[in-house]
Amino acid sequence: MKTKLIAIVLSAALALPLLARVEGYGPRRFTQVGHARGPHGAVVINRRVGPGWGGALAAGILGAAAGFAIGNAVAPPPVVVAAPMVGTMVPVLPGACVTVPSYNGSVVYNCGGIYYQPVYQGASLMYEVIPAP
Amino acid sequence: MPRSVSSHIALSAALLLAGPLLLPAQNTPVKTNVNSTNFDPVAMHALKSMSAQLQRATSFSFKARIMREEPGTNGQMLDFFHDVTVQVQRPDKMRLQVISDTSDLTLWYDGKNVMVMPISARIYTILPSAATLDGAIEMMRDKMDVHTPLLPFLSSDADQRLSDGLESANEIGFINVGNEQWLHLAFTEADANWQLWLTGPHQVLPRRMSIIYKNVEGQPRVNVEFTDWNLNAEIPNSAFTFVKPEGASEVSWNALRPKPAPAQKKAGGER
Repeated sequence: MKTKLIAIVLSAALALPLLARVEGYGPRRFTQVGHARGPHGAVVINRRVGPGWGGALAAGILGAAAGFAIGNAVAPPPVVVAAPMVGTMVPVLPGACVTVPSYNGSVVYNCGGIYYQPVYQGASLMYEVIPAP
Repeated sequence: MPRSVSSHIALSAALLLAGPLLLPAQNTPVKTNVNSTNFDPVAMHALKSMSAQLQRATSFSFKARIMREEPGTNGQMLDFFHDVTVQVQRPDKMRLQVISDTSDLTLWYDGKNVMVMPISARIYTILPSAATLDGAIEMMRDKMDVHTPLLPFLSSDADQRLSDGLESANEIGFINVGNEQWLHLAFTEADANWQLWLTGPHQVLPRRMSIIYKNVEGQPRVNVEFTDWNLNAEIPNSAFTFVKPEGASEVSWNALRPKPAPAQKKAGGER
């Protein structure tokens, strides 16, 4: 009993320095860049949710180019955003979401038929696309 | 005598004089041999003076801008920024407000619980915590997976946390930043190379930190800029009290944890 107690105290004392260094890097997650695929099993965050600036700029450029070519004001083509796949991790919700409370101790957001569940990656809250509950 | 030289001497002298008072001879489990030539006494004393300054402050606040490199799926390193407002009342109160590229949240610690609420989502989480700030910091690191480089500076023993496990500590010299001189220090340890810039000599405080995680693939860097230090901050108790917003739902922390990654493929799988 005494030996066990000493062992516990010793292991606790020896373990202390391991906690006491410059803070570790923490969870390693990847951000989607172009079409490149991250390592298998890695957390990949898609930060391009919704049309955003990229889509709006592209539409503006296409609209301006078309208007210039035809000589008429042409409405920019609609930006089509594909539904995200289950498992996609995004940093913000697309908007106009309805909360479905008390779902497995968490909440689920229904955003136009796409369901998102909040997940912490370190101290950052992300939203993961899940199958319809 | 040029002002920068006199400031240098004043800060070096202050750090050396402060050293004997602050050197922790009781820190026996540490393998660091500070007597080796790898350890510049000015660098070690500067670390201890900074720690003593922070330890004496019972109610303090500061702001920090953290730049964190994270990998893109194409291997390129991307920079993400986090602005953190820190308020601390020793021994058992803390509030962190984080506004960042990736997440906005407020974290309260009131001596009993740690509460986290993202600003953009109407959900919050309450986690039972230790009765001291140091215990809360350990809990945040171990259970919540929060690894902000600010944590050692909030603890009651910053120098011990930062100096244990060091392999070298060096004074690089003074740099001029506006009307101030900052002392530039460089440290190495098994998993990271890091640098610290301190002001002084009257208040030895961190102003900048840079960490390179040399054993993480891509060797990502995390940089911190510290501003708006107030070592006698008058912080109302309400700052540390979480008030549940109307309509917000409590969510269990475990439900918010990421699910384990799928098993690694063997031959032919992606790396």
